[in-house]
Amino acid sequence: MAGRDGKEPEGPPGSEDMTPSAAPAQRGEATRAEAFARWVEPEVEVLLRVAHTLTGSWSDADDVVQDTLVRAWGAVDRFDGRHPRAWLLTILRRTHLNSLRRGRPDLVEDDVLARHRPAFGAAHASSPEQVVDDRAFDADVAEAVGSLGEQFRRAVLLVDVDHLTYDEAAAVLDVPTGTVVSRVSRGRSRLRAALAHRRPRGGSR
Amino acid sequence: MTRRMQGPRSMLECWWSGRVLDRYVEQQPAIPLTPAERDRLERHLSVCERCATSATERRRVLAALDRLGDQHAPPPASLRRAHDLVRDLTDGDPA
Repeated sequence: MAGRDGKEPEGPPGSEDMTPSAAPAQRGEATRAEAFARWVEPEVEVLLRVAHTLTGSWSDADDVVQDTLVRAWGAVDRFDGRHPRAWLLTILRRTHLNSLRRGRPDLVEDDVLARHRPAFGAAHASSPEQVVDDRAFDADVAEAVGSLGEQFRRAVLLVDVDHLTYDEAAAVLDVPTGTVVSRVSRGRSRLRAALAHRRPRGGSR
Repeated sequence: MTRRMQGPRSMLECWWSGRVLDRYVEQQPAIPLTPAERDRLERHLSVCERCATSATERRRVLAALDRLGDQHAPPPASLRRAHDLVRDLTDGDPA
Protein backbone atom coordinates (compact mmCIF):
# COMPACT_ATOMS: atom_id res chain seq x y z
CA MET A 1 0.00 0.00 0.00
CA ALA A 2 1.34 3.40 -0.82
CA GLY A 3 2.38 6.19 1.50
CA ARG A 4 2.76 5.01 5.04
CA ASP A 5 3.98 8.26 6.47
CA GLY A 6 5.05 8.11 10.06
CA LYS A 7 5.09 4.33 10.33
CA GLU A 8 7.98 2.34 11.67
CA PRO A 9 10.64 1.67 9.07
CA GLU A 10 10.69 -1.38 6.89
CA GLY A 11 13.59 -0.46 4.71
CA PRO A 12 15.14 -2.57 1.98
CA PRO A 13 17.75 -5.21 2.78
CA GLY A 14 20.73 -3.61 4.39
CA SER A 15 18.93 -0.37 4.96
CA GLU A 16 18.68 1.55 8.19
CA ASP A 17 18.14 -0.85 11.05
CA MET A 18 17.33 0.65 14.42
CA THR A 19 17.24 -2.56 16.42
CA PRO A 20 20.13 -2.83 18.86
CA SER A 21 20.39 -6.56 18.29
CA ALA A 22 21.27 -5.92 14.68
CA ALA A 23 24.41 -3.97 15.56
CA PRO A 24 27.48 -5.38 13.82
CA ALA A 25 30.73 -6.21 15.47
CA GLN A 26 32.42 -3.41 17.34
CA ARG A 27 34.23 -1.00 15.14
CA GLY A 28 37.08 1.25 16.17
CA GLU A 29 36.39 4.95 15.91
CA ALA A 30 38.82 5.34 13.02
CA THR A 31 37.24 2.44 11.20
CA ARG A 32 33.80 3.86 11.87
CA ALA A 33 34.73 7.22 10.39
CA GLU A 34 36.48 5.60 7.47
CA ALA A 35 33.55 3.35 6.70
CA PHE A 36 31.09 6.22 6.97
CA ALA A 37 33.10 8.33 4.54
CA ARG A 38 33.44 5.40 2.16
CA TRP A 39 29.71 4.71 2.17
CA VAL A 40 28.50 8.29 2.12
CA GLU A 41 30.90 10.33 0.01
CA PRO A 42 29.93 8.67 -3.31
CA GLU A 43 26.23 9.18 -2.55
CA VAL A 44 26.27 12.88 -1.70
CA GLU A 45 25.28 14.02 -5.19
CA VAL A 46 22.46 11.49 -5.40
CA LEU A 47 21.21 12.57 -1.99
CA LEU A 48 21.14 16.20 -3.09
CA ARG A 49 19.38 15.35 -6.35
CA VAL A 50 16.73 13.30 -4.59
CA ALA A 51 16.29 15.91 -1.87
CA HIS A 52 15.77 18.49 -4.58
CA THR A 53 13.18 16.29 -6.23
CA LEU A 54 11.38 15.95 -2.91
CA THR A 55 11.60 19.56 -1.77
CA GLY A 56 11.76 21.51 -5.02
CA SER A 57 14.52 23.88 -3.95
CA TRP A 58 18.24 23.61 -3.46
CA SER A 59 18.24 25.44 -0.15
CA ASP A 60 15.70 23.00 1.26
CA ALA A 61 17.59 20.12 -0.29
CA ASP A 62 20.71 21.37 1.49
CA ASP A 63 18.89 21.33 4.82
CA VAL A 64 17.43 17.87 4.29
CA VAL A 65 20.76 16.40 3.22
CA GLN A 66 22.63 17.98 6.12
CA ASP A 67 20.08 16.54 8.56
CA THR A 68 20.27 13.21 6.76
CA LEU A 69 24.04 13.06 7.07
CA VAL A 70 23.94 13.84 10.78
CA ARG A 71 21.29 11.18 11.36
CA ALA A 72 23.22 8.68 9.26
CA TRP A 73 26.34 9.36 11.28
CA GLY A 74 24.36 8.73 14.46
CA ALA A 75 23.05 5.45 13.08
CA VAL A 76 26.18 4.19 11.38
CA ASP A 77 26.92 1.63 14.09
CA ARG A 78 23.63 -0.05 13.35
CA PHE A 79 24.19 -0.17 9.59
CA ASP A 80 25.48 -3.46 8.24
CA GLY A 81 27.28 -1.94 5.27
CA ARG A 82 25.04 -3.42 2.59
CA HIS A 83 23.33 -1.10 0.12
CA PRO A 84 24.54 2.24 1.47
CA ARG A 85 22.52 4.18 -1.07
CA ALA A 86 19.27 2.52 -0.03
CA TRP A 87 20.17 3.07 3.62
CA LEU A 88 20.85 6.76 3.05
CA LEU A 89 17.77 7.24 0.88
CA THR A 90 15.62 5.71 3.59
CA ILE A 91 17.06 8.11 6.17
CA LEU A 92 16.60 10.98 3.74
CA ARG A 93 12.95 10.10 3.21
CA ARG A 94 12.28 10.08 6.95
CA THR A 95 14.22 13.29 7.41
CA HIS A 96 12.15 14.92 4.71
CA LEU A 97 8.92 13.69 6.26
CA ASN A 98 10.00 15.07 9.61
CA SER A 99 10.74 18.42 8.05
CA LEU A 100 7.27 18.44 6.52
CA ARG A 101 5.74 17.60 9.88
CA ARG A 102 7.51 20.54 11.41
CA GLY A 103 5.30 22.58 9.11
CA ARG A 104 7.91 24.53 7.27
CA PRO A 105 5.93 26.64 4.80
CA ASP A 106 8.64 26.43 2.15
CA LEU A 107 8.09 22.69 1.88
CA VAL A 108 4.39 22.82 1.07
CA GLU A 109 3.52 20.74 -1.96
CA ASP A 110 2.06 23.56 -4.06
CA ASP A 111 5.33 25.42 -3.78
CA VAL A 112 7.18 22.37 -4.94
CA LEU A 113 5.19 22.31 -8.14
CA ALA A 114 5.64 25.99 -8.75
CA ARG A 115 9.38 25.84 -8.20
CA HIS A 116 9.94 22.81 -10.33
CA ARG A 117 8.82 24.49 -13.51
CA PRO A 118 11.43 27.19 -13.87
CA ALA A 119 14.14 24.72 -12.87
CA PHE A 120 13.46 22.88 -16.08
CA GLY A 121 13.07 25.95 -18.24
CA ALA A 122 16.49 26.06 -19.80
CA ALA A 123 17.69 23.26 -22.00
CA HIS A 124 20.61 22.11 -24.05
CA ALA A 125 21.10 19.51 -26.71
CA SER A 126 24.10 17.67 -27.95
CA SER A 127 23.18 17.37 -31.62
CA PRO A 128 23.74 20.60 -33.58
CA GLU A 129 21.03 19.68 -36.08
CA GLN A 130 18.45 19.39 -33.34
CA VAL A 131 19.41 22.18 -30.99
CA VAL A 132 16.46 24.40 -31.70
CA ASP A 133 13.93 21.61 -31.81
CA ASP A 134 15.32 19.89 -28.72
CA ARG A 135 15.26 23.09 -26.72
CA ALA A 136 11.65 23.67 -27.55
CA PHE A 137 10.87 20.04 -26.87
CA ASP A 138 12.74 20.06 -23.55
CA ALA A 139 10.77 23.09 -22.45
CA ASP A 140 7.56 21.30 -23.36
CA VAL A 141 8.68 18.19 -21.48
CA ALA A 142 9.59 20.26 -18.44
CA GLU A 143 6.20 21.88 -18.46
CA ALA A 144 4.51 18.51 -18.89
CA VAL A 145 6.48 17.06 -15.98
CA GLY A 146 5.45 20.01 -13.82
CA SER A 147 1.84 19.33 -14.70
CA LEU A 148 1.91 15.70 -13.61
CA GLY A 149 0.22 14.73 -10.39
CA GLU A 150 2.50 14.67 -7.38
CA GLN A 151 2.84 10.86 -7.22
CA PHE A 152 3.62 10.48 -10.89
CA ARG A 153 5.93 13.45 -11.04
CA ARG A 154 8.08 12.27 -8.18
CA ALA A 155 8.30 8.75 -9.55
CA VAL A 156 9.29 9.99 -13.01
CA LEU A 157 11.82 12.46 -11.60
CA LEU A 158 13.45 9.88 -9.35
CA VAL A 159 13.74 7.20 -12.03
CA ASP A 160 14.08 9.10 -15.31
CA VAL A 161 15.77 12.31 -14.17
CA ASP A 162 17.73 11.32 -11.06
CA HIS A 163 18.35 7.81 -12.45
CA LEU A 164 17.57 5.87 -9.30
CA THR A 165 16.73 2.23 -9.76
CA TYR A 166 13.13 1.27 -9.17
CA ASP A 167 14.13 -0.28 -5.85
CA GLU A 168 15.90 2.88 -4.75
CA ALA A 169 12.96 5.05 -5.77
CA ALA A 170 10.72 2.72 -3.77
CA ALA A 171 12.91 3.32 -0.72
CA VAL A 172 12.57 7.07 -1.16
CA LEU A 173 8.82 6.98 -1.68
CA ASP A 174 8.18 4.25 0.91
CA VAL A 175 6.08 2.22 -1.49
CA PRO A 176 6.59 -1.22 -3.06
CA THR A 177 8.78 -1.40 -6.13
CA GLY A 178 5.80 -2.47 -8.22
CA THR A 179 4.02 0.73 -7.26
CA VAL A 180 6.97 2.76 -8.52
CA VAL A 181 6.97 0.80 -11.77
CA SER A 182 3.28 1.53 -12.19
CA ARG A 183 3.62 5.21 -11.34
CA VAL A 184 6.54 5.70 -13.70
CA SER A 185 4.73 3.91 -16.49
CA ARG A 186 1.58 5.94 -15.99
CA GLY A 187 3.57 9.12 -15.56
CA ARG A 188 5.38 8.54 -18.83
CA SER A 189 2.11 7.74 -20.52
CA ARG A 190 0.66 11.03 -19.33
CA LEU A 191 3.75 12.85 -20.48
CA ARG A 192 3.41 11.37 -23.94
CA ALA A 193 -0.24 12.35 -24.03
CA ALA A 194 0.64 15.89 -22.99
CA LEU A 195 3.30 15.97 -25.69
CA ALA A 196 1.14 14.50 -28.42
CA HIS A 197 1.39 17.74 -30.39
CA ARG A 198 5.18 17.23 -30.49
CA ARG A 199 5.20 13.73 -31.95
CA PRO A 200 8.32 13.02 -34.00
CA ARG A 201 8.07 12.98 -37.71
CA GLY A 202 8.29 9.56 -39.38
CA GLY A 203 8.32 6.19 -37.70
CA SER A 204 11.61 4.55 -38.47
CA ARG A 205 14.25 4.10 -35.81
CA MET B 1 11.94 1.08 -43.50
CA THR B 2 8.72 0.10 -41.82
CA ARG B 3 5.47 -0.76 -43.48
CA ARG B 4 1.95 -1.07 -42.23
CA MET B 5 0.65 -4.29 -40.71
CA GLN B 6 -2.95 -5.33 -40.95
CA GLY B 7 -5.27 -7.93 -39.46
CA PRO B 8 -6.07 -9.32 -36.01
CA ARG B 9 -2.62 -10.79 -35.48
CA SER B 10 -1.00 -7.42 -35.99
CA MET B 11 -3.45 -5.87 -33.53
CA LEU B 12 -2.44 -8.44 -30.96
CA GLU B 13 1.21 -7.74 -31.60
CA CYS B 14 0.58 -3.99 -31.33
CA TRP B 15 -1.18 -4.51 -28.02
CA TRP B 16 1.69 -6.63 -26.72
CA SER B 17 4.24 -4.18 -28.08
CA GLY B 18 2.57 -1.32 -26.24
CA ARG B 19 2.93 -3.24 -23.00
CA VAL B 20 6.64 -3.91 -23.34
CA LEU B 21 7.96 -0.86 -25.20
CA ASP B 22 8.95 0.99 -22.04
CA ARG B 23 11.05 -1.96 -20.96
CA TYR B 24 12.64 -1.97 -24.39
CA VAL B 25 13.60 1.69 -24.57
CA GLU B 26 14.74 2.34 -21.00
CA GLN B 27 18.25 1.59 -19.86
CA GLN B 28 17.49 -0.01 -16.50
CA PRO B 29 14.02 -1.53 -16.66
CA ALA B 30 12.67 -3.14 -13.52
CA ILE B 31 12.28 -6.34 -15.51
CA PRO B 32 14.45 -6.49 -18.64
CA LEU B 33 13.06 -8.10 -21.76
CA THR B 34 14.21 -11.61 -22.43
CA PRO B 35 16.17 -12.13 -25.65
CA ALA B 36 13.11 -13.83 -27.13
CA GLU B 37 10.87 -10.91 -26.19
CA ARG B 38 13.37 -8.44 -27.58
CA ASP B 39 13.61 -10.36 -30.82
CA ARG B 40 9.84 -10.58 -31.13
CA LEU B 41 9.47 -6.86 -30.46
CA GLU B 42 12.16 -5.84 -32.91
CA ARG B 43 10.58 -7.97 -35.60
CA HIS B 44 7.28 -6.25 -34.94
CA LEU B 45 8.83 -2.79 -34.94
CA SER B 46 10.41 -3.49 -38.30
CA VAL B 47 6.99 -3.98 -39.89
CA CYS B 48 4.70 -1.76 -37.81
CA GLU B 49 5.04 1.93 -38.43
CA ARG B 50 2.76 2.94 -35.60
CA CYS B 51 4.66 0.98 -32.94
CA ALA B 52 8.01 2.08 -34.35
CA THR B 53 6.84 5.67 -34.08
CA SER B 54 5.75 5.01 -30.52
CA ALA B 55 9.20 3.63 -29.70
CA THR B 56 10.81 6.71 -31.22
CA GLU B 57 8.50 8.93 -29.25
CA ARG B 58 9.28 7.14 -25.99
CA ARG B 59 13.01 7.40 -26.61
CA ARG B 60 12.70 11.08 -27.30
CA VAL B 61 10.84 11.76 -24.07
CA LEU B 62 13.36 9.71 -22.07
CA ALA B 63 16.22 11.60 -23.71
CA ALA B 64 14.60 14.90 -22.79
CA LEU B 65 14.15 13.73 -19.20
CA ASP B 66 17.79 12.70 -19.17
CA ARG B 67 18.74 16.21 -20.26
CA LEU B 68 16.63 17.60 -17.46
CA GLY B 69 18.84 15.57 -15.16
CA ASP B 70 21.82 17.58 -16.35
CA GLN B 71 20.07 20.72 -15.20
CA HIS B 72 19.14 18.93 -12.00
CA ALA B 73 22.79 18.69 -10.98
CA PRO B 74 23.40 20.10 -7.50
CA PRO B 75 25.09 23.49 -7.26
CA PRO B 76 28.79 23.20 -6.40
CA ALA B 77 28.18 25.06 -3.14
CA SER B 78 25.64 22.45 -2.04
CA LEU B 79 28.01 19.63 -2.88
CA ARG B 80 30.82 21.33 -1.02
CA ARG B 81 28.70 21.89 2.09
CA ALA B 82 27.63 18.27 2.17
CA HIS B 83 31.14 16.95 1.68
CA ASP B 84 32.44 19.36 4.32
CA LEU B 85 29.86 18.05 6.75
CA VAL B 86 30.91 14.45 6.10
CA ARG B 87 34.49 15.45 6.82
CA ASP B 88 33.49 17.36 9.96
CA LEU B 89 31.52 14.42 11.24
CA THR B 90 34.26 11.90 10.61
CA ASP B 91 37.13 14.14 11.75
CA GLY B 92 35.57 15.37 14.95
CA ASP B 93 33.78 12.17 15.82
CA PRO B 94 31.69 13.14 18.86
CA ALA B 95 30.62 9.59 19.58
